[in-house]
Amino acid sequence: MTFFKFLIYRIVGIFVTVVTIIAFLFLLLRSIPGDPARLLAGFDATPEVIEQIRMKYGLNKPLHEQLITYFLNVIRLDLGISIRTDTPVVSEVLSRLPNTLTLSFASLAIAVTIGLPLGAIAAVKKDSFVDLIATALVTLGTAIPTFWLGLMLILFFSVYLRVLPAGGTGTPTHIVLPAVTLSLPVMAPIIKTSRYATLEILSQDFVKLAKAKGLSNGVVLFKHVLRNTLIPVVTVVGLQLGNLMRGAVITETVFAWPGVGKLVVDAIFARDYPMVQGAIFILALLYASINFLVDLTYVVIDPRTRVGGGQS
Amino acid sequence: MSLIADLLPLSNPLVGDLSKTLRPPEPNHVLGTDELGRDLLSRIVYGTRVSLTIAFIGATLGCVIGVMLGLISGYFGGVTDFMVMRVVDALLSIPSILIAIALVALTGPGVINMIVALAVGLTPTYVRLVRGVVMQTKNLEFVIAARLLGLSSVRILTKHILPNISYVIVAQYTLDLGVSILFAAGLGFLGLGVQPPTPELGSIIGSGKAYMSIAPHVIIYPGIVLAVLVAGFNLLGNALRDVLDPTSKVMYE
Repeated sequence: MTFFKFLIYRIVGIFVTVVTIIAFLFLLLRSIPGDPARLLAGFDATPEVIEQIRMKYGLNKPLHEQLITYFLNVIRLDLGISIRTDTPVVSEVLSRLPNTLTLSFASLAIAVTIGLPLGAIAAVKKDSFVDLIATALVTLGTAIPTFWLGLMLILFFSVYLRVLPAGGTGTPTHIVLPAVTLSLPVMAPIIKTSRYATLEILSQDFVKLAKAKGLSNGVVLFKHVLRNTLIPVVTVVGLQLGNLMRGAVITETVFAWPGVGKLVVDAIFARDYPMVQGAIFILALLYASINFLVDLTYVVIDPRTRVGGGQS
Repeated sequence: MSLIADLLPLSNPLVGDLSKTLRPPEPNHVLGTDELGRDLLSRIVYGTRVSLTIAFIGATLGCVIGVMLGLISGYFGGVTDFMVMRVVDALLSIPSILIAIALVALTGPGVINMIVALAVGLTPTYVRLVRGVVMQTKNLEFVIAARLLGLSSVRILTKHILPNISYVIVAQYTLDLGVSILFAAGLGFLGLGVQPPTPELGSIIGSGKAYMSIAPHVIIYPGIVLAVLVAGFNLLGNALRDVLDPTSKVMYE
């Protein structure tokens, strides 16, 4: 398969995903017990108001026509009006999105910059103190609940030491605790994979050759080993996206970080259905696009995947 | 220990003494009391039971449905396989936390929704896992022999194919228990899972959060229990995979 074909295949894949998500969300709103018009109007609405809303949202038309209208609206990025704030859902979600992205990328950066070298060093110096730390981080990182880690960090750094803010945004120091919190569960699999991949590659012939040529350990590690460990690490990062998203929803709530995750949770408690729907749609879209980028990264790092691969 | 909670000399996890709220650990209440004066040790023990129950039901449902779909999909192939795999792809394209949030938004917070979300989130892994192995196994000599003997498909699948892949399933299931506990605790913490006054490890931490600066013990102990539980299942799952599956290399020793 050529690169171009691969690209087309993936883009069609994303399109299918988006259609699935839209249909899923439509069914979601439609399966809410009770009359959606009454729900949108609020509990104390008069019959006239409900009838008005029914007309306004096209709820008096047959279901398939409604589905088509909904599709068209979503494609035009019209996700409805928030019940709580009376502003368009799209602008609300998009204004929160940069915060979520900043937090996610910051934690991903921490996870990769610490996890990748740590795993590699742990493999090179197997059974050393570094290896022990790596093992401990892997065990803890997969077992400690994100929200609890966040609270413990707040307790230590904000309540006892009073050196870092416990929540909110504003100064650059505000991102430290949430980013560290969110990075641990993502870091654990990266360390694990990096260590395993390095161990595997260290035993291969080309590494032995490089060493036999008299290259220093550092050069061998950086030029020959690290590049090859990148592929499994990128895969793991890709697989961790779902985890990262779950972590983001929880971490944002713990640290009052004004991202999409907190928006969704607040919207659920306010019974703001259009907002929940819109935010889920945009998060799912984001998830699909980032997965696509991960696949592209693959192709850039490892030219072999351009031939044959694709079906994953 | 949580399994025999009813037999232990613990105070009622739902009844508190409002004159003794947020007490630090003391002889009467070994781990102290929470914001409503309820005994924390008792709430943690009962809460662990609730967490474990949810995780077991959710993971078991996901496992059973996933394995069945994987068997059918891998063995019969064709249109059935195509349909099942498209549904699986669709589910995989949406993170399970979003499915859970959607379900909660739809019908309100609660245990049943959480279990459904868990099952839905875990099913795809099993389908892919089992389908792959079935497709490899179904053309091996002993399966063909069984088919030639005129055995029914159900019998071939359950008696001849399933035992060969049980090790993968058991290991994955154990690992999923850890994942499920964390997932349920996360939703509980957000207030989207188990509802008060029922104790659950995540929701105990969630409601204790507001008092953490004056009574940190309320959130510290349930968190430790959670981490130990999950670490236990993770280590057990990894060990099982290494022991039961001779083909998988030791990932992390």
